Formats: sequence, C-alpha cells, structure tokens
Amino acid sequence: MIKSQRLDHGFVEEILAEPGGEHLLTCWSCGTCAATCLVRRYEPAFNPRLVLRRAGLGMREAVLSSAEVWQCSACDACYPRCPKQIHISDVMKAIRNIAIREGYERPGAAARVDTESCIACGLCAAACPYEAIHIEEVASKEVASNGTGKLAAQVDANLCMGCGICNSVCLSSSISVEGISDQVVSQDIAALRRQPARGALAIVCNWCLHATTDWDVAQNPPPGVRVVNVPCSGRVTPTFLTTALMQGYDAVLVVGCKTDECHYKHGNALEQGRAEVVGGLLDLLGLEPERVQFAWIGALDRGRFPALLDKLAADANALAPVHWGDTPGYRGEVPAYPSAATAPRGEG
Amino acid sequence: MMESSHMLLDQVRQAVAAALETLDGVVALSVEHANVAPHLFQPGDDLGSLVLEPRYPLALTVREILKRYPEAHIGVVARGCDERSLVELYNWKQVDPDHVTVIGLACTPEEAAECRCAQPYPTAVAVGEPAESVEDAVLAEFMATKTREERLAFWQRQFAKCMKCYGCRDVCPLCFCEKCAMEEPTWVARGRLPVAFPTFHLIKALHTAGAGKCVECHACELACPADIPLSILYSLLRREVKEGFGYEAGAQRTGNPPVFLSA
Repeated sequence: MIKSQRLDHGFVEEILAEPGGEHLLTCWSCGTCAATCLVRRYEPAFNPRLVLRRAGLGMREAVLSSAEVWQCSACDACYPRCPKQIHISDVMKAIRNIAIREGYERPGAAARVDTESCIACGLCAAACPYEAIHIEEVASKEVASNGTGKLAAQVDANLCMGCGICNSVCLSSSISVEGISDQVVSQDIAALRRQPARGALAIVCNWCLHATTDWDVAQNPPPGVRVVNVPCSGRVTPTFLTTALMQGYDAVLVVGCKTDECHYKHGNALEQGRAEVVGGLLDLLGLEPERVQFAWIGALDRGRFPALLDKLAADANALAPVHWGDTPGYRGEVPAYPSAATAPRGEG
Repeated sequence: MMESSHMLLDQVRQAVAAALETLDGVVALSVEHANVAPHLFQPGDDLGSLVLEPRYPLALTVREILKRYPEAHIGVVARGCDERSLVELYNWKQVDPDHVTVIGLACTPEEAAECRCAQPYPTAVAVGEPAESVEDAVLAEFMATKTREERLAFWQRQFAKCMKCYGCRDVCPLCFCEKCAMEEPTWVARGRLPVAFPTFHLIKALHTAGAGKCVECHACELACPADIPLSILYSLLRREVKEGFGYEAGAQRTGNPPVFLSA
C-alpha cells in the first residue's frame, strides 16, 4: 500500500532539477517502454514504467534503494516508441546521480581487478567506454627503492556497466566481470557443445536482437546450433573462437550490433577490428573462412538472425573436421594428425 | 670481418665507459665462464667482459632494474629492435623514458640479413654504420607457394613440434605480464602434448603482434628449439595491425598502449 504521508514531493523536484530528469512528470504510464524493454529479457522484474511512476509519486526510499534504477542499460529501445518522447534512460541516469550522492551503491557485478597480476599498463582504462577505470597506487608488498608502491587498475563500481570490454583487452585477464569471465564463458561454450561432437556455435550480443521473434530463435536455435549470450560482442576475443573450434564446434558465428549502434559505445567496433584480423589468421592457417563468421545486426534487421543460424548450421555440416590437438574440454573424435615424420624435408 | 667486429666492440666499450661517467649503470651483454647474459655494468666495473654476441633482447632487463630502482638513470646498449622494444615499453607504461639513455648500436649487414630486418639500426646511432634494410619476404612467399590445404597441414605439423618450453615467450622483450595466458588452464591443458592447435601459438602471437607490440626482433624464432617459423605468423599480424589500425610497433612514443585486439 502506498501511504500519501510517506510520499516526498521534494524528491520529485530533485529529479526534475537534475539534468535528464526534466520530463519525469510527462509520463502517462502507458507501459510501452516496458513492452519494448530489452533488459526485461534478462531481468523480468525490471519495469521502467513502474520506476517512473514511483519516482513521480515521490517514493524516494523505494526508488533509490531498488536494484531497478541501475538495471536500465540505456539501450534506448523504448525512447523512439514512447508516445511522450521521454528519454527514459536519461531520467534513470538522473535518479542514479541522486542515489550516488546519497550514498547508494550499484548492486550486481562490476569489473574486479586482480591487483597482484595487474601490471598497470592502462589498456583497460583506455578501452572502458565509461571511464570507470583508473590506475592508482594499491596496497601491496611490492615496494620500490624510493618507496613508491604498486600501481594497479581500480574500478568505480558506480560507473561500470559490466560489459566486459576491459577483460577482453587485458592480456593477463587481470580484470574481469563476474558471470562473463574467461572461465565462465568458455565453460558455457564447452558445456553447450552438442553430442555427437559436431555442431555450430553462435556467440550473440545481448542487445542486437530487437525483435522478439529473433530472440525466441536464440532461445530455441535450429538443430546443430548452440547459442551463448554475452553482454557485448566486444567481449569475444579470438581465443574464445579458436577454443570453441577445438572443443568440437565446426563453425562459430559472432553476432554483434551494427556500426554506431553499440550498446556500450564502441564494443562492436573493437570486435569488427578483430574480425578483420581473425579473417587474416584463418587464411594464413589454411582454415576455411566459414569456420569463424561475424555478423552485425541492427534494429531494422528483423528476421535476419534465423537465416544466419540456418546458414551457420549448413556451413558447419559442410566443413571437414580438423584435428585440434589436446584441448581442455575436447571430447570429440580425433581425426588422424599429420605426423611430423612424414613432413617433406625442409619443413621439419 | 673479424677485425671490424673487434673495432665495433672496442667502440661500444668506449661509449659505455663514457656513459658510466654520468649514469648509474649500463645494461649490456656480459660473458662469464663462456656464458653470455644481460648485465648491469656500474661505474668502476671492468668492461672487458662486455660482448655483443649472441644477440639477446635487453629491454626487459631495463624494465626489471627500473621497477626496483625507479630513481636510477641507466643506459642500455640498444640495437634497432631493442630501441623499438623500449618505445613499446614506454607506451605500455612499463618503463619511464626519462630514466633511460640509449647507446645506439647499428647492426652489421650480415646481422641485418640474418634477421631479415627492415630497420637494423636505432634512431640515433652511436656505434657502427647503419646497414641497408632487408625485405622480409617469408610471409608473401608462404602464401604464394602453398594451397589452403597445404597451409593447414604445414601449421599442424609445425605446431605439433612444439614442446611447450615457453622459450618464445621468455625471450620476448614485450612479454611482461605477471600472469601469462599461455599458462591459463582455461585455454591450455597442463602437461599435455601436442599443444592445442592453434590456440597456444595464437595466444602468444595475438598478445604480442596482435596487441601492436611485436618489433620484429625475431628473438622468438631464433630461440625456438623446434625451429617453428613463428615469424610468418608474426609478420601477418604486424601487417594486419598496420593496415587495419595504422599502428606500427616501436615507431612512435604515444605514452599509451594502443587499444584494438588483445585476446
């Protein structure tokens, strides 16, 4: 029950005064935002309509202490559909700013740093789309002759959106986000591998499938195809791809957002760069270009995803199995390995 | 030839002696009981043990010393590849350039030919004559003379020879991580041979050449006891990084690591 004497109109005024929060009270509570919200796929309890309604009523405590204000990931799928043209992610951001000022902290997984192995190169800080990472002196036994301590990356949990791009660029994986660490994603990939050994894998960004029908296909992919979700295609390093091949998938597809449509600003651009290089590497190693595929899907590409998966399954079937050596998680049949003894002279 | 290399050595020793008048030390190769290793020559030390051969990357030795003694100012006898490695170490914030003085050593034409080196001299040459650049055609030749199936069989044979000695990584002047992905059980099964194809070797290649760090010193290939032609792989990644991201390792002091691939 909502009690009127516990409502705080000052909270409403505070949001209206916060940049981005100006349009809070224009909301009709029609629910179109909730109907189009991509976050609801992962967080069914999340409902932007309710957050705006509660905030507009002045339910300070309920709004600021909820996990929901932090769950909006500013994909703006709701924005073009809102009949009142409220930039809902901006309102969310305004509320978050108030929450941070009042000492609330972002719940859930933010990137964490293993300060022991971090070498403070600053690559993660440069790659972070949200400037959430800084290099600072940390407590450590390592002290240099002039008394300077060890430097390491440190994360501002309130700014981190959990995309995992930092992890993808860190050479020693000294920074990672719970739930999408190297270990977890590669275990997901290995665990999902189809029996018998052959099959195809699609690693799909959480935000590129806008149409519900495409999302349903990702949940129930065609025979021979497995789908693993990651927050951003930029999380997917070439090592995931070669490891997936070695674990018995004949072909791997990475699906990310179209250029300039990345949910995390530049994660897909990072992956598009990797796609070029992976293509060059496949060619050098003599692997078929169909082994590792990339596709970029936008809001207007309804229906393209199922077709991509069908093609992936067909390509995987047509490709010959390759011996990948002794690999963690490999349970497939091992084709004959070209022996070093039979190598032509001069190549030995 | 013999005479000129003696002359070169004398000139390097003179340059080091002069540098030691102002510096806290100079990193160079030293021979002791017929073993050659990187060494920090300090003022007053006998420079008779200083040698130039066999070539060995010295950049990481500079990093190790400055990490422990950040206030020291040290010199290093640096060939072109050593200097480029140092530039990358500056960019990756592993070495403070204000604490390093390069004593530039140009490689001889024979050395340049052996390394197929495009730039066998540092930007400022203190000793030696800059040799002409040598074109490295192994990648182009490899791609032109082999079909796709032959390339796959070639790399499977080559990588199967690997005995996982980690020599390519240990000698690399740009492998400075505390925790190495090549030892991460998620990617590499412990105690198992042959190594996973192609992940094991791709991690090394992507984390150095793919990260814009490979300065083409060829130390990994020279160190490999199994003679795996790693430079073909590294040449390809250097080319991809240059064409795709406009970045050339060691060419420019940017003060920041370049963001593109990693792995």
